[in-house]
Amino acid sequence: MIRRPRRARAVVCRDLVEQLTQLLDGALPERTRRRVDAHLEGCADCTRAVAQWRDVVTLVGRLRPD
Amino acid sequence: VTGAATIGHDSAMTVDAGDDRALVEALQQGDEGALGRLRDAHDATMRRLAGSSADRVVPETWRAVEDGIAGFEHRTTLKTWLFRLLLDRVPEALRPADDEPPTFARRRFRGGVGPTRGWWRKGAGPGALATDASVVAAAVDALPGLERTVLVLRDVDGWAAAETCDLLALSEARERALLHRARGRVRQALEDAAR
Repeated sequence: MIRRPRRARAVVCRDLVEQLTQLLDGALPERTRRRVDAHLEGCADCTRAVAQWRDVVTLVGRLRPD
Repeated sequence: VTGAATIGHDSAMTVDAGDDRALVEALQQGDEGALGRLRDAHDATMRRLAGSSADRVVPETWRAVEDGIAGFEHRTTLKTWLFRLLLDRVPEALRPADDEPPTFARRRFRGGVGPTRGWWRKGAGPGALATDASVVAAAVDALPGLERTVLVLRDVDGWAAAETCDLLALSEARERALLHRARGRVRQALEDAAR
């Protein structure tokens, strides 16, 4: 029997957005991180979603009283 | 590490309970200044977590600190002990959500079969967000109890994931999932408010 090398499934936008917190926390496994980075290279909407996730964290952080 | 508490079976994260000995000693000696510093550091977050019952449970918690500090034995951090005293009085702050919505609504992504399945629909990407502090505060306060607690601790008060897991007895993965859902709901509320 010939075994074909397993190809990593490409990341799609719907899956990527579920990993935004892990991505920003640096908690994605290396292999997944590489696939996510490759996706972001060519997807403006997901790149915007990542930036927006950072914005949400920043805006919520501003609620902390001085 | 003195008093280190390991979190979960699958986590190497620890919380150091040995860093606040001087403060605890001062509190145990009835040092009002030390109590004041502790209040200044945590009262606002405690009030946000307690929500509508803050006026009742936050003063109650501070009385419990004064009553209980003599018996504090550094089994956990002072901060964790303080917030446990609070959350024991606010069961709604520990209530899980009834739903687990996707981060972005499913309809924003293409369905069907083929290579474009799961990609954004045209024009359905992230919209603009409202940034007004009162809108952000309302979005946070509207979160389901446990998600709100995790988000307030992590993103408002700057707790580390390990501290949050320790306080709430959550696994690292569960804590991150709750934080993610909370951020997603806030993001959606801010997008809705910007329309």
